[in-house]
Amino acid sequence: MVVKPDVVRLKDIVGDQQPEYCNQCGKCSSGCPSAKFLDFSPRRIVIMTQLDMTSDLLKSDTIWLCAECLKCKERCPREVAPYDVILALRNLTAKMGLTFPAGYSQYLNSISKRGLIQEPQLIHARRGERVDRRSLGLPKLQKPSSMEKIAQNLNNIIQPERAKS
Amino acid sequence: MKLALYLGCTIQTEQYAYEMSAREVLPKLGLELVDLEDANCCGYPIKSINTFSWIYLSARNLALAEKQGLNILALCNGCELSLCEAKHYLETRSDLKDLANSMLRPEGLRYAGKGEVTHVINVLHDIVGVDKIKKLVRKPLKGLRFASHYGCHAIWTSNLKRPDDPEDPQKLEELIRALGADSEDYPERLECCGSGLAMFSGKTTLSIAGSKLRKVQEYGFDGMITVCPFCMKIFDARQKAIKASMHEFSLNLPILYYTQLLGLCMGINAEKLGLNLNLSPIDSLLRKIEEA
Repeated sequence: MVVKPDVVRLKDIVGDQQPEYCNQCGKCSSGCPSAKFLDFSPRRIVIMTQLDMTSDLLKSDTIWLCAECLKCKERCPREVAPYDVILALRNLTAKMGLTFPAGYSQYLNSISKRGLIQEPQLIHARRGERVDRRSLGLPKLQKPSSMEKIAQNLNNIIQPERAKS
Repeated sequence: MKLALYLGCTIQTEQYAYEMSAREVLPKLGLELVDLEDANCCGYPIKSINTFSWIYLSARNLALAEKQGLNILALCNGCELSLCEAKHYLETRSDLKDLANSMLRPEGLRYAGKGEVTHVINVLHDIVGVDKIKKLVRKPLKGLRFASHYGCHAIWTSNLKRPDDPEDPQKLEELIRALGADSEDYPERLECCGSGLAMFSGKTTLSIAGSKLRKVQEYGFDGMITVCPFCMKIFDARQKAIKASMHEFSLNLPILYYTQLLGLCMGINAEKLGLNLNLSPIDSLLRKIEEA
């Protein structure tokens, strides 16, 4: 498929990404915990973004294999922020209605319903017994009082992204 | 010192041991914690699909704390960085601040940027202090060695205020040594747990986490100590799966929150610290601590 990156520019997405400053030193890739699992190393992601080859990136798994450790952003001598480039590409994927991991939609739905990514869970203790907040003596969790307003705001912020995973 | 305790999603909905041990230990160090009422997710979990949704959700939490006139203690590494980073953008981009505030206005909330966000390492090391912690130790951990694991977001990125040095953090080690144990450097000390990509590829996460745990065990540490609920979720709660994914290596490494270890040294009952909830094999370590 043909992707038109100019529909939403990377620069319009919140972050510090400046791929044009990269001089391909490779520090980002040498420290990346995911590097050996990637089709495109962080360094390649940045140069592909420079060269407007984002359509290949948006089609690959690579941008979703970032562990978000931020080491690349920390160590980049040119303040390119490879992680922020990846984040912008992820946002672009969602904005363009392309497929993204389903977990993000679940998080969004749960945050819109009760303010948190999930309900408090019934968990296993080490000896196998099941425990929850109440049995552990922890205070009951309240939903935010203005849950409807929060949901409405999120809905206004995120329109094309919803339910496209 | 009075702080608004912000727990976020992961701690409050599944990593209960961190909440329990923090609620037990921190007030005994002279900190007054007030739960940040009405709070929501910090927004980090949906940052990947829309960065402004994260800025808005973080701004709402920051505005709630401002309304109470309190600084935030965000116990989770992820939430803490997320709030600090959102604050950075709210302060440097007036368009984002204005948009977020227009959404907060109907609730009577406003982000003005008056409050601070602090990390548990800052609180323990810089506010309470190593000397005070030393004095509160009733059962020192003599002869034990622990590997420290900060969690990436506690140290990166240093363009935002982080609790410790990005390349050679020492505060967690100092806090562990304050309890009488050793905690020396090891080559993989700053390596990531891999939890950030678990949603997309759990197998990759297990591989990244496993390579660190294997080294820590080979170096002969008695356990690993962390302050991050995501790292805990992988290293502790997923340790059985990590072990199953390894070839010819019998992984057997206790993982504890620093607040749990500190609580034990202060003589607090193990159950109150949620030590029955750790899923890594900590029983023999607990006996060693008892005998230390």
